[in-house]
Amino acid sequence: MIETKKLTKNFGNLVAVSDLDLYIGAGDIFGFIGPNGAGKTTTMRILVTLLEPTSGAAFIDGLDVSKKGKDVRRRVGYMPDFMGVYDDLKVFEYLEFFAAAFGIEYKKRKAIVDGVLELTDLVSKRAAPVDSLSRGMQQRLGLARVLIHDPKVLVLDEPASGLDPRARIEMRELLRELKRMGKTIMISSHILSELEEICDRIGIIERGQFVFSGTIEEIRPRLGIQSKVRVKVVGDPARAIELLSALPQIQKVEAAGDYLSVTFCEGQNADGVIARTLVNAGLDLVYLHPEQLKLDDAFLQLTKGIVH
Amino acid sequence: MNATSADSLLQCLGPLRLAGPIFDKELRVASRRRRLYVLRFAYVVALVLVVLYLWSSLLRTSGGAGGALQASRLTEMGKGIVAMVVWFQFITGQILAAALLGDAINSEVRQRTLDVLMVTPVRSVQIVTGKLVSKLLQAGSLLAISLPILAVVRVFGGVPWDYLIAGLCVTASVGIFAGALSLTLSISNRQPYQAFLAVILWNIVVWGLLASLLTKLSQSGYLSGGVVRSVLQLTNPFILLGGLTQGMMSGFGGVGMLSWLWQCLVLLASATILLVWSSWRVRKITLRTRPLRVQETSEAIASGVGKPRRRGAIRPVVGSPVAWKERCTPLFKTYRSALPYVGLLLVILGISITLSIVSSESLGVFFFFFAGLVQLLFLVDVGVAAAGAVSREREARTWPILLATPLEGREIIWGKAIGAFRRNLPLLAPLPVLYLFTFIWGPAEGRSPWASAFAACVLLGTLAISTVFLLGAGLYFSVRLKTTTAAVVTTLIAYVGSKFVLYGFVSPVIALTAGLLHAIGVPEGGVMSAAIVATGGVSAVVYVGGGLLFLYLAARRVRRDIF
Ligand SMILES: Nc1ncnc2c1ncn2[C@@H]1O[C@H](COP(=O)(O)OP(=O)(O)OP(=O)(O)O)[C@@H](O)[C@H]1O
Ligand SMILES: [Mg+2]
Repeated sequence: MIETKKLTKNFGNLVAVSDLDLYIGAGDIFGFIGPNGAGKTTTMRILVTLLEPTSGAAFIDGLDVSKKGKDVRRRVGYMPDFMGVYDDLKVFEYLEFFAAAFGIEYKKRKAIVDGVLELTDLVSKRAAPVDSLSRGMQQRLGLARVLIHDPKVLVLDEPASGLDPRARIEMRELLRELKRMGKTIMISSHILSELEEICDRIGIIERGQFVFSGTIEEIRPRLGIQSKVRVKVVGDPARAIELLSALPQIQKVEAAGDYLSVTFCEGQNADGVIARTLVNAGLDLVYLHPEQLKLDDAFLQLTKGIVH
Repeated sequence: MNATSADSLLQCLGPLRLAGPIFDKELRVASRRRRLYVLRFAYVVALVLVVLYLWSSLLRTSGGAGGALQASRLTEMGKGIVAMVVWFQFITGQILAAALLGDAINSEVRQRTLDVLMVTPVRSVQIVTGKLVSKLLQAGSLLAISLPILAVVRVFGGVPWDYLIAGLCVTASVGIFAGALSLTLSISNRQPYQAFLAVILWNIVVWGLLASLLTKLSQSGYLSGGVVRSVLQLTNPFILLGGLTQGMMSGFGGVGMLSWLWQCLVLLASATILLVWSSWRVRKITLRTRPLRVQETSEAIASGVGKPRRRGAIRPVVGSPVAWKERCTPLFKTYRSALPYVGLLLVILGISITLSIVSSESLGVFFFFFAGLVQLLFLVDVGVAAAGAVSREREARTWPILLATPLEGREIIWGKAIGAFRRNLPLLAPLPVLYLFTFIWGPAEGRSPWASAFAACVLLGTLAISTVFLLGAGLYFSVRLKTTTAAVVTTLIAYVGSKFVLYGFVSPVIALTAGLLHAIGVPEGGVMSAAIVATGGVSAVVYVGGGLLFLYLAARRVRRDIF
């Protein structure tokens, strides 16, 4: 649904996006992650036809963004990272304005606007002046606006910034709802743990290039991280280390505070073996839990925080 | 001023620490802006046009004496050019100072940097003087371009030094005064061009209308001539420079050598007062910006007397959405903000009625004058609205959102043009009444109804073609330039410049052709009407054609340089 081929954008000497190849299938939620200045916003602006690429091509629904601008804009809903609102309009008028701009018939507009107000939980603000809304509400209004022409593709640049924790959870629910409606969503964020739960695939970009792209599961081997478990035994940890290190499936065992951190060999998973070994040796096993690879860690490992 | 010269200038001025960090920052930023180069180019072009125009008119009056010009003619020409350059500097210096400083405090408030500045040890006096001095230096560096011309002209001989010095001093002090006034106004005006327009209005009303009223009053014996003359010489730079120029051209010292010094002092003292007041206001405005807003809104909600529009029902979007949106921005946000407009009209009305009574002019002429004035205000407002239409969206960051819709460039531009026009239409409300009066008064003053109708048609025709031009130029510069102020100032200058070209270059050509036709033997009446038709036709073609061309170019550029 969204595709780029060797997409490059230069600002003078600065290469903001370089040879980016991206593919997002229909109905997917794609998380776009990267440090400040990595080129996320630039890529998204090119996808929604607001910037011309220096070289390479980008396609939305099979349409070239630099040639079929108008058709692409009909299919895409774009929410910019910083957005202003008109100060002389009310919420309903604002949305109806964009409905008209997208060429929706006069008769249908009211029903559609009421529908998105409902979806984004803004019905109570229907007649409020747009510039009186709080930051979070404006963000929700932005999302409502994006949905007004029922686009197939949503490009959301940091939609969760400025939202309180509750609103973040609501936003996540909303995105899931939209996915159920069959929309393809590309979302950038700095809140990585947020993307972890809703994204089908993620792409980590740095200095205009992907350093990783794939599913969350795929990120482990890519990082060379093997599966780990945390173990706690009551009694004699030293003996536990000795016993576990002897097992063929286990690569290494380290003490980490009260816990033991057990690393498996490549492709092995031996939770059961660990438990059996320890219990059989008469040690009290009180805790055993797989260590989760957090997206934040992956982010830190993959990007060196080089800002250009 | 490029970056290195800015740096070296800073180093030279370093020990003086003119106005602290603000001054440094302004100078540094200015050296990075493209605006200065554009301004410099525009200035040189305008100057060349002025000199060429003078040259051509002098050649014409010299009657083509064939071959060499006599020395006396050269001297006269030198004097003319010097006077022209001095006047040009005088006018542009004021415009530049007003334009550059109209955004001074305002931009800091808008970018929310004023609060940050105020919590640093920088004193508000330093902020104000730093802004003033740095921007005036920019204006001065532009004016300095015309100095070589003066040097060249001196070769012709006969240019009195005292005139030059007086001219430059008056220009400098008027520039400082205009800058200080603009800066003061920029504190309380939300839109940057408002300060600029206010300074221009100050020129027209105080130094133009008020002065002519005083003169008329003294001529008809209501006031003592001597008093009026000395007051004007002390406070009115136009009259002072006029006197100086007359004295220089005729060869007698028209104005006492020292009277200009007094006026410079008066202007500088006024500027100082304005600056002191501004620096006091700057601190106050930071202290109260936000709390006041909260208070205002809560009060408005409590009493139900918010902004009048806000309470209205939801308005359905009909027709072109862009034009609809443009019309939603009310002409005046509150009744209070309409007061300056109404007040200004009343002041001008009062002055001109008094003028027409004391000078026993006919009342019909006065109505025409007033109608012209209403039209002029409408035109300025249309130009300002068009010039802000896109750049304000860009400043408010709503522009990319609008461009992400499938609207075509021409739909957006056309919608904005229609919207800006319709929004300002109420300003023309007094026109039908005024024209009706001229019609009714006509016979009493020996003017046939046809003549009144014809005059009204000419005025309305001018209004129509100027509107098209201003809408086009305003939208084009709004798309091209980054800030609203730049777009507004450029649009208005383009409009005034076009008038200058039309009357300076096209009208003489038409007059010359008419003269030739008459010499061949075409009857005078026929030549006259042909000349009128030709002038009208040419201006219609230039303005309407230019306006439409600008609209077309603007529509084509809409999706370029969005960020
Ligand atoms: N209009 C522009 N002119 C010049 N350089 C630009 C422009 N827009 C972006 N850049 C540069 O391109 C690079 C990528 O910027 P971009 O905004 O795409 O980053 P980002 O990944 O969105 O960062 P953030 O997480 O901070 O939003 C940056 O180095 C930025 O300075
Ligand atoms: Mg960004």
